[in-house]
Amino acid sequence: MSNPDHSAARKLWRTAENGKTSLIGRRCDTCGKRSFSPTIYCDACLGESFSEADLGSCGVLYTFSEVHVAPKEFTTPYVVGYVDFDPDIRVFAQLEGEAASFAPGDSVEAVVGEIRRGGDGERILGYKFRRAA
Amino acid sequence: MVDVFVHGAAQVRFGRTPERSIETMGQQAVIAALGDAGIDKADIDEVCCGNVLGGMLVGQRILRDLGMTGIAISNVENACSSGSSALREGYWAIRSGRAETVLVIGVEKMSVLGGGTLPLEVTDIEVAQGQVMPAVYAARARRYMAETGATVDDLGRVAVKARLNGSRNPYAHFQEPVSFETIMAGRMVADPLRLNMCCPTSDGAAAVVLSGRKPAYAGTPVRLAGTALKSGKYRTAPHDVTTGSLTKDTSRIAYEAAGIDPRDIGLCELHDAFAPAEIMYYEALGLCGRGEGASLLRNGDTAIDGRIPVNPGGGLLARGHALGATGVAQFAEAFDQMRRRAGARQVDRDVKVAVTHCTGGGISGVDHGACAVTVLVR
Repeated sequence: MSNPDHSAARKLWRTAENGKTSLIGRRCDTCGKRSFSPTIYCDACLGESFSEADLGSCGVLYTFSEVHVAPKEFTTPYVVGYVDFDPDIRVFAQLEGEAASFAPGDSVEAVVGEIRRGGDGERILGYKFRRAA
Repeated sequence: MVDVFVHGAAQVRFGRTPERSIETMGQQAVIAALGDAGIDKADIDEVCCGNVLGGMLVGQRILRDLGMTGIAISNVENACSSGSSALREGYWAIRSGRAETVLVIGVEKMSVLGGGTLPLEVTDIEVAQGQVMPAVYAARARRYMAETGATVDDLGRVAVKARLNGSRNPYAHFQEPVSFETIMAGRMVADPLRLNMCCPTSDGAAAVVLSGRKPAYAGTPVRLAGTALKSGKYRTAPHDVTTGSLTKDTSRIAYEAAGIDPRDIGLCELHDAFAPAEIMYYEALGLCGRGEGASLLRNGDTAIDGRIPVNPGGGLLARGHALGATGVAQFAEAFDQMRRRAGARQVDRDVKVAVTHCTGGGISGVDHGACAVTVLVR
């Protein structure tokens, strides 16, 4: 992936002093719709002004897969899944832990870890999820 | 408005063939389709060409050397649905009255990509996290299986059927049957999808001649009775990914346009890019009810000799997937089956209504970029 990380346009996570990682969404100042995607416009009302909305750490795993064939920037196998932040946000992310340890409906929590390698082999970090303690 | 009749169709064999150019494959399909239709190239009023990876003016590059220039040529890109979107353009060119006879081409050279998974848009937020197309379907399959009781064995059965049908299809990329045991022991691509549960990326072409005039061939003419195209809705909130809602919505528009009911469907060519898609799309297309997809397959209802044969040409899993060519090849297959000239893969039943379905294109938040459905009636 030679392009700059798209998610760098807006900070998408934060790790507190107690080590808890939470995802940072946003709320449209015009219509109030919450979202996670770093886009320029609100897809509901086309507003351009947003305020930060803390999504918290914990979500529910909707479904997942272990990927064995992927672009070379990614170290296979790795597990990916969709995590739901009730009621209005779904986040796609990598999962930490054995694929066999997950099931749809599991509670998961956000952590920071390696997503992929950059062009010079450097680790690119991002939000991931693991089974909630 | 005028009816749209199918005059002729042709496929060029799908496969991994770096030596064949886009222009050559396209020209072979065009000449064969014109020959099948018995229509002179001078009678073509307009051309619609579906392609994704070939660069600018693919239709013009194919047609220039056949001396088919000076007419309206539009190039259509809609990811996996490019060919079926081109069919829709051709349909409306005739229905609107601006053209009487239209040539629709689908062509793709996937071998330019090398191997591996289809490249997605790298600026996409999910792709940056490691999303790949097989994982999209694998994750859907896992949820679908959890909700309906379908099993990984059912995914293997889809692949067995596809490869058996492909072994009877001289246009298929893969022409050897593969055993259930071999499929279930295959290399894992995205759990639970093993290699033969994922379609190959192929080179290939197909072409179709449509006209507002009645065709010359004997028997009841085959009509393109309805088409529909929809893009996937952008959904940022949790939603069900197991029902194929885009396919359901698009197909119902096409069925209504054609004046048919899902119970009328006698044959279906659907977009089995990955094995679980076939079972889920049985339900979305209305061939059976929710949660009944796996039993439809196990009963043999969708086999070549079944009640509603699905993908008698081998589907994407065996014929292969050549993005822009796929939708047109599906259509050509349905036409051949309705004309009862499909050789060793000819279905038993007399097919009055056939449906072709493409859906695809991965961008985050929408279940697919584009879905297109056509209905053939005779």
